[in-house]
Amino acid sequence: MSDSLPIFVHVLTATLLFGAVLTALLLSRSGAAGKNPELFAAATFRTLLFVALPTWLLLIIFGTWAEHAGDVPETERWLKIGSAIGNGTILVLLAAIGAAYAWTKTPRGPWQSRAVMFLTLAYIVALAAAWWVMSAKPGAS
Amino acid sequence: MVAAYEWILALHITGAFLLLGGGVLAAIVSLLARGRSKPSEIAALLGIARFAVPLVGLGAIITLTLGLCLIARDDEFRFSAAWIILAIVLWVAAMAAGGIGGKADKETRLLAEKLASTGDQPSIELDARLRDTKSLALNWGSGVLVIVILALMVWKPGQ
Repeated sequence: MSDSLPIFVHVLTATLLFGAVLTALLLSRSGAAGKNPELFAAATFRTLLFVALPTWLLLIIFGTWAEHAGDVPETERWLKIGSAIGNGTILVLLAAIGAAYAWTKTPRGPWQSRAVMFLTLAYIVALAAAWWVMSAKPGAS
Repeated sequence: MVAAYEWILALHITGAFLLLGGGVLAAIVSLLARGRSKPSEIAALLGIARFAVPLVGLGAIITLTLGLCLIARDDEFRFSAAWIILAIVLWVAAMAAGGIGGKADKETRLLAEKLASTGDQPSIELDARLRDTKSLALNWGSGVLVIVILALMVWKPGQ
């Protein structure tokens, strides 16, 4: 029970985080296309701030719990890579939230929606790399 | 070097990400649409939910086929295990509920698009459709079933 609960919540929050950031990517893409940027800017900002950010926090909390409860050696390469991506990409997520906030202030601004698109796409690529490494566990002992 | 079993497992988990991620996408835009009154804005938001359909479909197929493949390759698992049978039954129920709920969402989007092109005034019918309890129960129920399947995969009760 104690081993499985953090793993379950960790995996669940990772999938929710993927869905939230993907939603932000598609919302920013629609806003960048020029139709109703005010609507899409607000929707993107709220999705990232109220869904993606709390989900990321839960992902890290339960990931750390799973790491300690599962008695996995910290030297495992797959764990190091996955943790580094999970912790490090908060900067990308915060930058995306900042760009989304700037977009709500200037909905027809030239760079804001594109910045959100780029940052959310980069986040998804990093997240995909992390889930692949942590599930395939290359080099696991 | 990653062995074949680990490749299949990683792809199986990727399928779960697509399935649940697509569900989250549909849920978020549906919630955002419920906060709007102009049909054009509702149609624009629900239009994004269309991207969830291929994600959920592909994720559902990958999780099931590769899940069955993992059972066949691993002596530790048996097709007759109660948690595996339950997971398959729940998978079928989740797909059925999501399919019916998704069809209702599509009809809501089409109504919003029609209203947007004919004056774009708030509509009681559109608002009622967005808050239809049967449709919401089917969509959210489908999501809950998929989360229960994930719990079965992690805990493997009786294994």
